[in-house]
Amino acid sequence: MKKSRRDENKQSRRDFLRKGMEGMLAFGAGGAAGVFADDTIRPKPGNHSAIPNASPTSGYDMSKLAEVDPALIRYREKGRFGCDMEESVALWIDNGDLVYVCGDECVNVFDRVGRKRTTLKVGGRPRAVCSVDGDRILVAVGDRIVILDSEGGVLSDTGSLGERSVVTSIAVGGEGTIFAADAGEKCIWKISADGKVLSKNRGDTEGGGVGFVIPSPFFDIAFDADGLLWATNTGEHRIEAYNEEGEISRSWGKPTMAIEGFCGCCNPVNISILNDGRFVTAEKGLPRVKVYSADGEFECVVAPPNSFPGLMRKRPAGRMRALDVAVNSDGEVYVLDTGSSQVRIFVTD
Amino acid sequence: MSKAEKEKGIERGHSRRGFLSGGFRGAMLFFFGMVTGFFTGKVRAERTVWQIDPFKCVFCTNCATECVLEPSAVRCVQYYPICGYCKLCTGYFDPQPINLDTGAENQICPTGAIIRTKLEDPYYEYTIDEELCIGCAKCVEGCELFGNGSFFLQVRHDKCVNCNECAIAVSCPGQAFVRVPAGDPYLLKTRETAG
Ligand code: SF4
Ligand code: SF4
Ligand code: SF4
Repeated sequence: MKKSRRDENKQSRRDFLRKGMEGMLAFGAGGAAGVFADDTIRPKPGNHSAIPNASPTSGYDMSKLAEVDPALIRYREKGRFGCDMEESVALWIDNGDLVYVCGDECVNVFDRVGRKRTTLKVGGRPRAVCSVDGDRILVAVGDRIVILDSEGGVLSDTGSLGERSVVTSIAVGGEGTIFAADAGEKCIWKISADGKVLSKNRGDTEGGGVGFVIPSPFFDIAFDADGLLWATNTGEHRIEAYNEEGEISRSWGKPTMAIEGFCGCCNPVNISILNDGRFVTAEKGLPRVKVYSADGEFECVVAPPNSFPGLMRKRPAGRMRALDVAVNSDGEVYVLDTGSSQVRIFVTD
Repeated sequence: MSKAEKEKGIERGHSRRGFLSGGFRGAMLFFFGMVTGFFTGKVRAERTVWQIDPFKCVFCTNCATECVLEPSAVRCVQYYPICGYCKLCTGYFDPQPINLDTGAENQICPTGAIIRTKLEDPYYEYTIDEELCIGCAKCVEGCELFGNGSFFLQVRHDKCVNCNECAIAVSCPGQAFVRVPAGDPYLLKTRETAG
């Protein structure tokens, strides 16, 4: 199919050139006055009848879809700070409440109010960052994970995980075992603390399960307090819990533009888990941040789509952008607004 | 007139005819030269054609309504390497579909120009029937805002007559119409720029 489409393009180019040549010959035969036969062109300014069922409400009316009942918004923005980079991608908060933002070709580390502590250079465009205690910083760069010390020195490198690998999230489990969500290979890699691949989880493929369905380059994972690894199966609009051996135990989520579900083709793009087991979710398309109970019941909105005007517009050329979320030890929700390259802090009273 | 003069005369006559015929030939050559030069100039001037920069299009629907041709020379194209083959394709389905099936009430395309084909579970392929597409950009908007942006509009050069002043270009709010070389007239997205 791909091939035939390309062939069709070539065909069209050939047609264009051939028709252009025919046109030139006809022009020559017709003499200097033989301008392009204008009767091949039928001027018809403003032919609005060409859209049979067009109406102002048909299609994606973003302002309507973005509407949220104010009573559902139970967080307020406490503050924000700039990421000090052109293109921010992902966010992480460690056990000491240090805030890591990766993007451009670096990781910027801030304290909880946004004072910059350091910049770690990365040889490539990072997509995810993770650190438990600030000593070892794991950064996903393309198809691999690079492990840095707190000064930015390279401790180890997993090497390429797979031919199509695009690592989009990292989490650290028991004994420092590394888990890496790979949107390209549609799997979660289990990797030893020193960087050796141990196993690969393709999701729930038993009994008719379709496994991980990841249409776009967003695939997030996070551990809860009980040691369950939660993964965003975005194409299925579900969040699924796995043990470290890759066995599924629970899942929840449903597709809908309505506030209680996940919108578009593939959401939620990112998640974070509060200390009490509740979930904070971030969506793309309608950039909205919400809180769900530990059982997956919709509870409230942290920030509605209109909070992120830079992401409500059509994206410019470049990487797809989406919100990322993280929570600190006080349960404050940090949102990486990639539309403005700012970290925005939301609290509930 | 002596024979010699006659011969000269004849020679003179020949010369006059020769001069006139040579002049005519010269004029013809000059004329053809002008025409050729004119054509060459035209060819040089027409070595670019109109195309849409997919990153600038803001899905206003003018491409369906403003083209001098009917239906428009602009059509949607599907760039398969970017497509997620989603079950819930936001370029195919209405924002709030009743069912995820091919029922007309669930589709966003006003002309039914998108063909949905089931591949291996849970993936689906979406193909544009260019003869039905009118370039309205509704699917482009859904795919771009919620999906991977694999649907986008392009001026199809087997249809476009390359107006000096493209009627869509003058009304395009995204200023997405650009001139591109006729030998390479399509602007494609790439995996990299899609994410
Ligand atoms: S006129 Fe411009 S903005 Fe409108 S649909 Fe066409 S290319 Fe897109
Ligand atoms: S929605 Fe509009 S642009 Fe898309 S395939 Fe249908 S007619 Fe073409
Ligand atoms: S140049 Fe003319 S025919 Fe081509 S897209 Fe523009 S208005 Fe249509």
